[in-house]
Amino acid sequence: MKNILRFAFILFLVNLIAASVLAGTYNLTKSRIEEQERLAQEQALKQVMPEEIGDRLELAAKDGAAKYWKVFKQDSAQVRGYVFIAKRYGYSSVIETMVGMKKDGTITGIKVLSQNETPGLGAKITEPYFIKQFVNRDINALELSKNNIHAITGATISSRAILGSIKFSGTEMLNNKNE
Amino acid sequence: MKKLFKEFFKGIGSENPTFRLILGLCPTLAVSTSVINGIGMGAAATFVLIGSNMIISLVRRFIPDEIRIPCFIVIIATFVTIVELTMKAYAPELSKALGIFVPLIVVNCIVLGRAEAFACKQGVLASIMDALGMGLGFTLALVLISVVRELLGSGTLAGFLIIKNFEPVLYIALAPGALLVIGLLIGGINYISRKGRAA
Repeated sequence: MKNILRFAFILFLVNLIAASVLAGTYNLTKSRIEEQERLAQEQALKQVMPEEIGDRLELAAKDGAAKYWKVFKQDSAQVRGYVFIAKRYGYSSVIETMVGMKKDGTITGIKVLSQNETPGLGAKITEPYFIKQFVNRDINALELSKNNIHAITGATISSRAILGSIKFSGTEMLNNKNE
Repeated sequence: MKKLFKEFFKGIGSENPTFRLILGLCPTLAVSTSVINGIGMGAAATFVLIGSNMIISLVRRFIPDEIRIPCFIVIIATFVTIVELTMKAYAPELSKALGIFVPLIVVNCIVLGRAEAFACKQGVLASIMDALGMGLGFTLALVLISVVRELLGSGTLAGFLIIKNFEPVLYIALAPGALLVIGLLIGGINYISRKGRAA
């Protein structure tokens, strides 16, 4: 009995110290991590939406669900395009992609935000040669074919997932924009 | 002093965690697809090893044998979380590339193995040297494996294109290829060291 109390006390002490150290580290790094995340997001937004089309992004939440950005040019109140995040399960992970789109549904750029597909196969969806194929395509006409988007050899499932998610979220967005 | 150096070098050579003790193979398989990942993972694991070995060696007299494992795990997990937060704050690209494998250092057999086999019986200095050696040995092993895998699996080294006009051997970049490469390297190292002993 005495031993159990002693063990519990020692374990409690170890945990207490560990928790205090962690709380300190968390507080020290917190603002820096938030800053990095903000920077990463800003950079991604710039990559998918060229400044000629719009340089002012406004965050809009659709029914509190998926968030997206409306794109304006300078002070004009006219929406020139959208940036949204498309998600779908690929081969071994959820592929999250940020997509920039003009008002008429032409894609201005995409960037894979997170994925954990097979290295060397599905993970190639992040490579420029694959990403570039999407630029200037009509979102309604996206498909995996010879004349449209070339799938990655050996990674049809990942290719299909990223294309499907972009098409689905994009067309849904275009259909709902007048509501 | 001589003893300290012995503790240091055994981790690199005669008791190399990957090639001799065959510990921590799971992260080895996962991150050795590129040299950059290998170095990052090695550095992170080395830091955790040094921290946990040092603390465990310091508190080894206060921690009763019966509850040593939970105490070790708490200490290791604390260091891993510190590494994770620091990486996220100062090296977001690396932390993204290593992903889930940084938190998984908690259950890396090398760290707990060294705590159990070495740090809880030895002095602070010896434990730090042991951790340094083991960490460096692990990093070197990761680099060796990832050089082979990246070169054959994608034709690059540390991200730079090395071999042109070469169809990468995808198999090497996948998990089975890692086992193959590790197996051949272990075989090769055993062959060389056996030959050295005979001579």
